[in-house]
Amino acid sequence: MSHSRLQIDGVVFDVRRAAWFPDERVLAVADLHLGYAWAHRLSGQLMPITPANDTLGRLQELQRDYEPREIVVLGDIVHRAMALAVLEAEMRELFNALSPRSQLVFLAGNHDRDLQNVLDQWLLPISLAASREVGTHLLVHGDAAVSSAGARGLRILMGHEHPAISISDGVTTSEKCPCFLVSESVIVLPAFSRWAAGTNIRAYPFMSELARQTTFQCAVAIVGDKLLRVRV
Amino acid sequence: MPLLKKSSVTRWFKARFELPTPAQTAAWPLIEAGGNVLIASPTGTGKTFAAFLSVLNELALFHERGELQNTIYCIYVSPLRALSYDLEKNLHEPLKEIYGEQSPVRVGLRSGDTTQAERQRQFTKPPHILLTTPESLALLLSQEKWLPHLNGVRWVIIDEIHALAENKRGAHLSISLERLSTLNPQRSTSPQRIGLSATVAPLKEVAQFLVGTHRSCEIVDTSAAKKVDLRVYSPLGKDPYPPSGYTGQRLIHELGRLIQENRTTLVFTNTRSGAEAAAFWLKEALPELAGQIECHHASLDREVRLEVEDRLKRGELRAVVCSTSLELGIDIGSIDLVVMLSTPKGVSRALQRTGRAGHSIHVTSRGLLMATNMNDLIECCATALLARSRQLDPVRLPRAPLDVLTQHLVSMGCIRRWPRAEALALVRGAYPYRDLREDEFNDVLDYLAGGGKALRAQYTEVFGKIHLDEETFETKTGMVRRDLLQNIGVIPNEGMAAVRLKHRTLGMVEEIFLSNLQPGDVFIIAGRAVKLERVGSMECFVTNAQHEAPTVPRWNANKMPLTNKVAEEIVRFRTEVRERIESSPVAADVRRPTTKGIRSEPPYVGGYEELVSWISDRLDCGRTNAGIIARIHEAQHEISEIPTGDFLLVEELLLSGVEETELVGESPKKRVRQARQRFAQTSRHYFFHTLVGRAANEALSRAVALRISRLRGGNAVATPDDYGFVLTVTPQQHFTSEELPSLLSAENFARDLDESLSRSHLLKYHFRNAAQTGMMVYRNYFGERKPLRKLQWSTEVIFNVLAQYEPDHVLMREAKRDAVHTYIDIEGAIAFLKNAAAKPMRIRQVERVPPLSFALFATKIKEALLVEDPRETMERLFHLWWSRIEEAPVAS
Repeated sequence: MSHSRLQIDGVVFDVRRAAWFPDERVLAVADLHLGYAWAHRLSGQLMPITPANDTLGRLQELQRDYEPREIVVLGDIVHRAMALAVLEAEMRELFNALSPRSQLVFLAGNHDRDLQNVLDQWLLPISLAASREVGTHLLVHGDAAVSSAGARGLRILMGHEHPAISISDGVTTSEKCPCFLVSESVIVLPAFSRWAAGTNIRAYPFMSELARQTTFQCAVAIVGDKLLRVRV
Repeated sequence: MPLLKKSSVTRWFKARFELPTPAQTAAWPLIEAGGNVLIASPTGTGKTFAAFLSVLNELALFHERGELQNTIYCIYVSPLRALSYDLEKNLHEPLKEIYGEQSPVRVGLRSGDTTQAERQRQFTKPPHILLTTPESLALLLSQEKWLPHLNGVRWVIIDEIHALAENKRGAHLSISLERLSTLNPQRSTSPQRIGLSATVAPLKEVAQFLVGTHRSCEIVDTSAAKKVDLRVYSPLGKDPYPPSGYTGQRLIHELGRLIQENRTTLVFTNTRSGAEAAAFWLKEALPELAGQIECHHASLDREVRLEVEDRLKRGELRAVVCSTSLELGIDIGSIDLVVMLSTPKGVSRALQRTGRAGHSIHVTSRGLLMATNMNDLIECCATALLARSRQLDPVRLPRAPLDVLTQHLVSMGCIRRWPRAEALALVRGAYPYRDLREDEFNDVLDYLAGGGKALRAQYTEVFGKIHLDEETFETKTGMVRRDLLQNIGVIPNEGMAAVRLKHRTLGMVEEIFLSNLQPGDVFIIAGRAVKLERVGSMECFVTNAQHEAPTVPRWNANKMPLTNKVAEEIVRFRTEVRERIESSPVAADVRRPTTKGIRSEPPYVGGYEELVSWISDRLDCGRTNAGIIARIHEAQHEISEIPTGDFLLVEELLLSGVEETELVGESPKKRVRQARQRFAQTSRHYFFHTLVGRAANEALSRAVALRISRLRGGNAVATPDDYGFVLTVTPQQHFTSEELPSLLSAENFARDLDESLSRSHLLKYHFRNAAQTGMMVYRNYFGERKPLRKLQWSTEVIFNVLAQYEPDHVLMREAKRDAVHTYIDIEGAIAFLKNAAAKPMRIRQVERVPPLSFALFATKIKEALLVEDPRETMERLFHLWWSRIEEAPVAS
């Protein structure tokens, strides 16, 4: 029995920070924050540029395993929309690698302001959307409010919060682990980007109205290479 | 006056003052002779005029000869703006009396507060004497247009140099001074350097810091001249374990009594919150004097702070309670008594603070150390003892901080293109950088050029700060230069939040302080009680809480480590006490321990009185204090044994999980407590009585924790303090006396410590500072300070990335150097281990917490040392929790 996937109410949570909808064959990830280091360099901060930008590699592995009909990225695709050659190269590489086998849907997040302009300049055939319906779920970035009429009885799947939860052995060790948050009305995905430090939900309030109004039943924590369901 | 050439200035001085002070008499001829001079003497001994009279004299003579030009002749640098303000007033006085309103000799002040208009005026008509701060000096050196004005500087005066030498701000200044000295290659002599210092040791080290690696310096030391009367008071009374809150009440009561008996009392508390709380309680206790008791600390609103300083100077206040903010030499008028609430952690500090009392060289400075708990009491007595015999703890200069170097290289590159070799030679001229290696220097240049181990070559040019080639470097134009000017300096973002009452800002509090409060809590700021309503991004909103009691003041939140000298003294003392107790005749039946712990009646008959007398003489501390100290050691002897310098004592205490009451509430903090309590395990505590000071214990505890982890798996929590450290482990990590020698072996110690540091919070904290100073992350972004939380997150991530891909990045190296320099004494730890290897070591099981371990035990456990392999940690955590929940169905 593998501990790397967990199914709750028809949604499969993968330890590799993705959600899978088996009936609709849709894979969802959130908060890629591509170009994080370059965004900071542009503003004069000498962030380290690491060799392994493994975002694409990890997405390709997920695509191979699930063979999704559609991959939805729930916003904050980039950290900052910049007309930079290096960012263009990354996005183009991602698009070319994934689009042959799955339809790609990109939702706009709060960091993606002006991204559409830049994508158009690069002649990349990507149109940012505000939301995406997948079966009984509505996929959004999560920064904007969603009225109940807008939700139409659908469960919301969102990113934006970069949730994490601290797990302790009570004596000597406490670790902050990225996690999924689950409730009847809202599911929050952890940030896919390695640059996200993760906000410990036990210590800090949520940023968005959506999450603040929700009482989560449990968190599915990513503990090393395994998933662990914990009470929130 | 034979000491100086005659001029209108010397005539003024003679008319004004009767005689020059010893410091002035010694210093003037040396300054006149043109050499570099370090003047070390306590406050109130005429240091200012020792330095400045010569300068004013020369300038007056220039003027008389018609030679006074429009350029800066003298630069005065001090760590505090307040000192510069004070000095400006002190210099204007003689100039006004000699020359009237329009003095031909101009004095100007330049700091972060200086207006744009004033800065422009200074540029067009430069002051002859410029009073400034290290950061402002570096800013001037970064701008080409200012260099002609700086070319003709003849004197540089550094005030409170001891307060700069020991930290990175001083290192920053030292490079600025080298740049200033080498500005004009045509000049045959570099500017004369004059340093003003308090009483520190060794002065030679500070003198070398002042003048740089290659120059010489004369030293004028008149510290012995001022007499000091330093005593110790403890509110513990007869009972070393008084009921909680009692100590605080007695302290305030005694403090109130002293304030009434003296005209002006200055109280130091070490922390902002402590100062606020003490001032508050004093006002409550002495309502008739409430209007004349004030609080002072660096986070107060500037207007409020200045007002307190002025009132103090004018003698309108009976007491001022400060954190450490009035330690440095700003003029605060005449103080009768200095009180230090809880130990100042160092003999030099104790002397400096006491020296603020009795504002003239002929008056004895009176100081009082007030101890707030048992360990505090012994420490205070030891400190006072050493202070009386002037045994000072040595200053320790940081070695070549690399983040500071990044700022200067970018700044130098703004002026012109530099050959690498020339820049390296200049930097090495600064004393903290005398040993800078060429490879370190080149690594910093590579970092600034945008490089990194795996950087794709074509992007180096676009995002670095400098153009770098084999031979030379130069700073890029445009945004890089603008950013530099906004971010010069080494003072890191300490994470302060503004406290707002309706539309007013009362002051600032630490974000960390705020994170421990909840809405509804009452705390003190700017001397008034306020209630927290809500917390915003970098601010909080409060309402008046006039009639409500604030949270209990914490007296002991102390970040400074004990110095070795005091620790050695205490070890000696313990060894002697043990000998006396063991050899004293004792009736067998009175030695039975009680179930409650300490009796308030002495258990010994006959032997006790002698013990008390002996302690009283030995520590020169009075009978009451001696009585308490005697009882503590007797109790230690009963419950465990007294640790001495002859063997190593480790006490083992087993505690079952503590059941806390279920907490119900919405706040995130309460949820955390709920989670912990749900899951308390039996834990084991080992108290290591290694009395080598906190810095060495930081090193010892971390290495020992790592070694236990290697031996038994898991992590260990180590809590060090000055007196030893406690290791908290799970039952599986139990160890025995036989294993002690390998846990405490000096072999491979440095390597083990290194490994234990690599993922520590301490290192991350210092990395956060290094990343800011080293321009990897900005503390000020678009003119606004970043919230501490955001800064913590970004630096946390960068730290993890670097730890994995580039652990020897220049800023990681700097973080480690800084952490170790400030907090960790490796040499002391190794020396202790080598010493201890020859002595017996034993583990003694105890049933309750012995008194000498009590302080350690009561201290909140601060940091879990992550020494375990991270993957194993995850495995362990997973399996621990897995057994507690039902399995969820898994997708196929």
